[in-house]
Formats: sequence, C-alpha cells, structure tokens
Amino acid sequence: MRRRSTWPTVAANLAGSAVIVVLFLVPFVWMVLMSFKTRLQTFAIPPVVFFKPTLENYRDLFARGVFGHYFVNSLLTVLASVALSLVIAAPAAYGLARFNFRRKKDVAFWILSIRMAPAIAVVIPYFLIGSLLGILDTRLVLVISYLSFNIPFAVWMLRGFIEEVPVEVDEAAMIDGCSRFGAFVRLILPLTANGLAATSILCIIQSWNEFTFALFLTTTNARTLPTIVTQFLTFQGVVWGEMAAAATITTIPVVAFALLVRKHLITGLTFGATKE
Amino acid sequence: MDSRAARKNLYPYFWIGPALVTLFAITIAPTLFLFFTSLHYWELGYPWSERVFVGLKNFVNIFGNEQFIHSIWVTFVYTATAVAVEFVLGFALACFLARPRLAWRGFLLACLVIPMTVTPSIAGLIWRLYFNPNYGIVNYVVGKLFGISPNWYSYSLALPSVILVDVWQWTPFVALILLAGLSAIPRTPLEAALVDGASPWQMLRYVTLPLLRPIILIALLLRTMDALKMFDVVFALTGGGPADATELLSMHVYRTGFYQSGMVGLASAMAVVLLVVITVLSQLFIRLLGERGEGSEA
Repeated sequence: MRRRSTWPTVAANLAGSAVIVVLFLVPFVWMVLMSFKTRLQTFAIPPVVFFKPTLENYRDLFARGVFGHYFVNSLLTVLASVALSLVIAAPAAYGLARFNFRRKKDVAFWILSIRMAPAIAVVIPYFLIGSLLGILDTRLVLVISYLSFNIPFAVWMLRGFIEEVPVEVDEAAMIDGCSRFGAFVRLILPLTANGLAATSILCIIQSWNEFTFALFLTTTNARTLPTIVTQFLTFQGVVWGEMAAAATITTIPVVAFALLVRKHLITGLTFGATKE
Repeated sequence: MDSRAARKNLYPYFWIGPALVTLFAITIAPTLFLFFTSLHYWELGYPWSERVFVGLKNFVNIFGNEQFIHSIWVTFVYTATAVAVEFVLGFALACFLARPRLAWRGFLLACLVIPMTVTPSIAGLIWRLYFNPNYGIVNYVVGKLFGISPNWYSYSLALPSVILVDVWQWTPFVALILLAGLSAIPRTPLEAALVDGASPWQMLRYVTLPLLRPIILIALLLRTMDALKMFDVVFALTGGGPADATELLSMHVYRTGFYQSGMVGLASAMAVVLLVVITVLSQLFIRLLGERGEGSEA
C-alpha cells in the first residue's frame, strides 16, 4: 500500500475543494463583505474584493430602529421557547427511553410526525385562535407556536442521548435511595449535558430561523429578525449594504452555533436516521 | 394487585404526559380547527360569527381553480427539479468527500454547513441582490464565463432562480447525509467486487447504490417534504412573482387567505391538501426509520 498521495490525487482534491468553496462558502462571505462596503463599492463593476471596510451600513441599520427591536424579540422569543421546550421534552424523552408501555413506538413516531407538519397549515388556525384570544403580535404567541416544532424535535433528540446512558445508572441511584425523578435530575441530566447542549443549540437555530409563524402572527411589536426581509422588499434599489448588514447580524449567530454542533447537525436534521 | 398493575402501566405517562398534552393542545387541536375552517366560507376582516358552513365546497372549488392547479404544477416542477439536482450534486460531493486522502476535509465540511444554517428568508433576500440583472454578482460571473446576461427577474427564469437558491442551501445537506451513508458501508462487498474485476461504474451501480438505498430514500424524502412546504425563500426572493411564476403552494395559500384576498376558508382547504400530502410522506419516512431499527430498541 502506498501512503503518499500522487499529484493527480492532489490536483483532484484541489479542484473539488475549490468547487465547494466557490459554490457554498463564497456566496456567504460575499454577503458579509458587502455589509462593510460603501454604496459605490457595492455597485462597482468589476466587483471590489479588497477595500477599506466601513461600518456605515451597520450605523444606518441601527438608526432604522426596528432592527434592534426585532433583535431583542428574536432573542427573548427563542430563549423562552427553547427553555420551555426542554423542560417539557426532557422528562418525555426519559419516559420513552426508559419505560416500556403499550404502543410506545406509535407514541414516539406520532411525536416525530408532528415535527414535519407544514407551518403554513398550522399557522392558519393559530392566526384565528390568536385573534380570538387577542394575543396576536405578542412574543407569547410566538413562544407557544415555536413549541410545536421544538418539543417534538427535543424529545426525539434527547431520547437518543438518554438511551446511551446505561440503565444501571438509574438502578444504582434508586438502590441508593434516590427517587426515579431524583436519579433523572441528579444523574441523567448531568450525564447527558453534551446532548442537552447540542439539542438546545439545534432548537435555537430552528427557532431563530423561523419565518412563517413570525410573518403571520406578528405585525410590529413582536416581529423577529427573519421577517426583517419585509422591510426591504419595497425599496431594494438603494440599501444593499444595509440589507447585507442585517443579513450578517441575523445569520452569524446561527452559523457559529451550527459549526459548534456540527457533529450532531446531520443526526438532528435526519431525526436520527444517520449517525455520524 | 390490579390497581397496582394499572398504576404501573400509567406510570410512564407521568413522564411523557406533559409533552403529549402540550402537543395535543398546540398541534392536534389547531389541526382539527383547520379542518373546521376548511368547511366554511369566511373572509378575513369579518366577524368570526359571519362564517357560513359550505361543506366540501371549498375542496370542490380549489380543484376547479386554475390558479390552484397552476400552483400545484409549479410546486411539482420546483420540488422535482430541486431534489433531483441536489441528489446528483450531493452524491458527487459525498463521493468526493469520502476520498481517503483529503487533508482539509474538516474545513470543507464546515463550508457545507454554512448554507444550510443561513436563515432561509435572509438567503432569499441576499440572492435576490445576487440575481440582479445589472449589478448582481451572478450575472457578472456568468457574463465573464459565458458572455450571457440572463434576466433572472423575468417570468421564465424566476422559478429556476428559486430552485438555484434551494440547491445552494440544501445540496450540502444531501451531501452530508450520503457521506454518512458512504462511510457506514461495509468494506467487504466492495473488496469482493474489486477482486471479481468489477469496473468502477459496476461497483457504483451494483454495490454502492443498493447498499445506500435506505439512506438515499431518507435524504430524498426529507428534501421532498421540505421543498413541498417551501415558503420563506420564495417569499423573500420573488414574492411568488413575477405574476404567478413562482407561486408555490404555501405562497398560494398565503396570497389567497391573507395577502391578495382574505378567503381564509378556501386557503384552509388548500392547506389541508398540503397537510395530507406531507402526512403521507412523513409516514413513509417513519416506516423507513422503523426499518432501520430506530425507535424499536433501547
């Protein structure tokens, strides 16, 4: 077996890598660059790659006012919904991982199938019920609606992580006088800390990126960052830099989080159908 | 004894009960409500009490409605094209990434993770700038390479532009799934084929692809379901236009029920159709998952 790479291999590797970088990374980087360009540089042909960055776009964006407001809404909505989801989902995940009961498989799959329901179908009744209850355009209605995809996802993910902890751990704790709930809180949760973190981050990404619920259920007060696009749809001609700045601030946190949990990303997005 | 046995059977529900109750309240009940509205005529802005029960008339109407049929067609073309392109490209990428001596694989995987996590509505917005016929980077590049400057905002190219954004965002997803599948393939059948003198093409056709079949189906199903539901990218990229060029199903529901007209009953009926299609597909997905042994063993 030869261990050294021959130069055709190297060339093929370089070519393939270049394709990946140009097709998938460059469009994102270009957006970030655009957010630091002056108007003249943005519209320059040929496009400018090297330039002195300006923060002008970011200043203008925050001067617009709504952006900071949307940002706070996004942050609070996402955190509240994800925290609540985990509190409800973690015991359920434990229940599915540790007990056998009639139709358990059906229950688990029913929970999973909820995750796949189209948002546009659920949002119509949400809109109607929300307006009857008078809670439209509040962060509350978004927090509740985000539970509908966060809980199923978190149950499904956490169950996998809990199943990796040997049952003997629970049994030993209960022999030592712990209640089952005590064992769950004091042993299982700390032992699955990594899984909990990965699950919450994946929930944060999904909630942060959510658009349909936010568009239908809010108008001004509770709007979140993904709906900032509606602000730009009418006068797109002049504010490319500002749009790029808004896009950069909105996407950087989720991209950073995603890179952080890359190991679990595909497992999560395929609901455990693939293990990396 | 009986009551103790019953208590033992009920005990798991202390754990999963809260989640089940919450999910029932926030998903099943609203879905039932959606079925209810789909059987009524009701316009946005009128009091809820003004609704009129019309039975299945909304369903009869939408299937006789040209615009609805058009949006189903657009959704079909979009889904079929996007998923097919993503599969072919994704498979090629996965094969490339599975090569044994690829030093900077970690970096390439990181590059692939970025598009699929970018907020979809933001991706739509930014690509709209890139597709700008005069100042966009896309036309600069295709102009330099092929000397053409297509008008991406035109009726005929709007749908391809939405498909391209979907391909940009989700090819990496397909690639990473297939890569996971490829690396899980046992080496023995491949080596056996090699010993038997199989050509690379024969190995792909008769060994790799059959072994990958379940994971390919999973990738295709997940992508199909997502593409059928597509709303945010198209909202930001084209708004469903120009005219009805990119009016995907979700967009059509939005325009019918909330934007151009307020026919909520009619929109609900369309949403029910989408819900039924997605539910059938998700049951298929779940069956596949079950076959892989997920959810059956502890």
